[in-house]
Amino acid sequence: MKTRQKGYFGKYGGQFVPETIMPALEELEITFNKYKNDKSFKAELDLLLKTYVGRPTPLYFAKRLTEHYRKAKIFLKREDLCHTGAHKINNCIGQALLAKKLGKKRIIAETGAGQHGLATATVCALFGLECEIYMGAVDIKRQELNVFKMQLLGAQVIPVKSGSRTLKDATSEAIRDWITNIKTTHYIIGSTVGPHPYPAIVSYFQSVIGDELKKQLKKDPDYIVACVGGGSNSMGIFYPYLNFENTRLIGVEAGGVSLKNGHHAATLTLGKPGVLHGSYSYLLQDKNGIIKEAHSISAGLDYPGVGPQHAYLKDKNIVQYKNISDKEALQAFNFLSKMEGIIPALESSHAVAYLKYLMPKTKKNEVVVVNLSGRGDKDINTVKSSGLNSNS
Amino acid sequence: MNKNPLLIPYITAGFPAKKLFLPILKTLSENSADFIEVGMPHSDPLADGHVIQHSSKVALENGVTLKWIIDTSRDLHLREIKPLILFSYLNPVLQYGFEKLLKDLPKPLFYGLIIPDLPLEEAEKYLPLFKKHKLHLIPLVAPTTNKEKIKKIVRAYCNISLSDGFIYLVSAIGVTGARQYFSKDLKNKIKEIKSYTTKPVVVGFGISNLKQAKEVISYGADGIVIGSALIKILMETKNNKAILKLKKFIRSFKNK
Repeated sequence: MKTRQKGYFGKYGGQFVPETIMPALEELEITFNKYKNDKSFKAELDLLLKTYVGRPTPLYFAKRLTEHYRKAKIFLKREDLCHTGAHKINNCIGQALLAKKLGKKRIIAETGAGQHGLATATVCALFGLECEIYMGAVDIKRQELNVFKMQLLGAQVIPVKSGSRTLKDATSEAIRDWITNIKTTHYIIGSTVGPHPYPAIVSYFQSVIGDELKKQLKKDPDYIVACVGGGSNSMGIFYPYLNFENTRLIGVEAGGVSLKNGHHAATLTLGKPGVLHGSYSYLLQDKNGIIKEAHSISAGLDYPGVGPQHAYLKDKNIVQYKNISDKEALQAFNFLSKMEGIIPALESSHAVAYLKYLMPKTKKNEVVVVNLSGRGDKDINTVKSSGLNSNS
Repeated sequence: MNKNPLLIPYITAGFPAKKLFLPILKTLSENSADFIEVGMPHSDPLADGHVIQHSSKVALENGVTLKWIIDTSRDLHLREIKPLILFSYLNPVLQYGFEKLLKDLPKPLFYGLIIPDLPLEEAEKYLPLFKKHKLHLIPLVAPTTNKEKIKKIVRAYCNISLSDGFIYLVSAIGVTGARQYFSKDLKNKIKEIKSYTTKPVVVGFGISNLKQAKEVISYGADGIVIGSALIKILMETKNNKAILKLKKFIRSFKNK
């Protein structure tokens, strides 16, 4: 993606943070640029991705799903089969290796669904790093299983009780911790958000998804569908295809209860550009610049911001952004479970749900790839209490 | 040592109640404040600790906006109120309109702005607007800011700014809120900044009592900002007694 000015994607991105952490961002950028093309760094990363994460993840031909729609062939990129159950670990391994190079022994992270927190706790156990995870009190409740797992791995989970008590506030609190412990601590941001160089770093480590896909498919896919919260799994799979005119890229945001009543997380669809968590991008905000609370049944998409690259890709019309409601996501959760024997994360269920709109428009000789970013074990309680689990 | 250091109290506008905004400004002005930092509350105050997070939340619930701050302070005069410095995170400023805000802020009542999430790298393009509208953008220097960056900051902000102005030095690594003690590096940092500029160096973040204020002044600072400690006084006091308590508190710094 073209960057005219350092850390910018068009007019989006930047480094809107207190001066205290500016030197750490510069140090991180220098370290990242030094090692991203370093042979031994890459070899270490690749070996861990292969032997620890389980990459490459399979590209699975979803036969029954394809037969159901009787249109294009549907493939699932199985990020749910990564160690820890989602794509988040791709970035965590990379950033933990960077933290080692930076000489930082303490790691902090924010988490919504708990998948990024879990992946961070996992790599901290792997590398023997101290680990503290900030998580909204609401999310701690709805993602109980992941909280227990993080604690089991030796991480401390810190409940965040301010604001909406979800991902936005967990991120704010993690940034405050970083400001306070800047000399000893590396902050592993889990999505393509935050100040430069984070969006670039997270995209880089997640682009392994798209790079693998290119090798796994004989011809380029006609469509790639991925869910978008902050935007890491979608950036990961879209990245190598951004300049491909024949591959249509579709990002699916959380439509929540309803776009009309404000209970949603459709940032790109209904937001306005502004600054949150260090970068300029689309945001859900009021006319005075106060950030609104997002809503999604999936904790990982429940965020009023989005990565700056997505803002740029929307404006340039390179990616189409759609949205799926809570209800449709729940239906897709059930549908994929019964059709393919794969229980998807509620986040990924948004991408799966979009198939019902996309498939009728496709042709038989075309190929659709859905990025199945995570598995749904963590969401069982949410789905159970939604009361929608029996219909499919 | 500066014998006449600047005393700069910080308040969150509209906290604890909108109707106390003007009485608070008057009380501080009449009781030895030299400037007053007026905080625009924000939903995500990244540089602030629990106390100012709380006051921001309450002030937002009270309906405080930039427009309200401007409208409410429009009829004030420097005869009764000390010069004000607007403290706001960037997003409310952007949504109001950056230049429109600089234009609309009553002058000379408003002396300048502090935007904690607008570091030099991002601020440069806005600097000419400050000169145009006769307002200062007060630069923040952090304990982590190295020599080269301090030089850059001093150069960039001094070039645009009017004859006076000051540098805001963050006392220690971290967010706003009370601290037990200050690191020895603070003294060196003040010295370092002063070797590049003749502008006053004002120290903020974490100063909560006279002893600490004296300590910081003895390090060579030209002034201090009192924020969270003052907000805490307002938090712990019933509205009708707030002004009295505030008066007592700010006067305790008179022997600065």
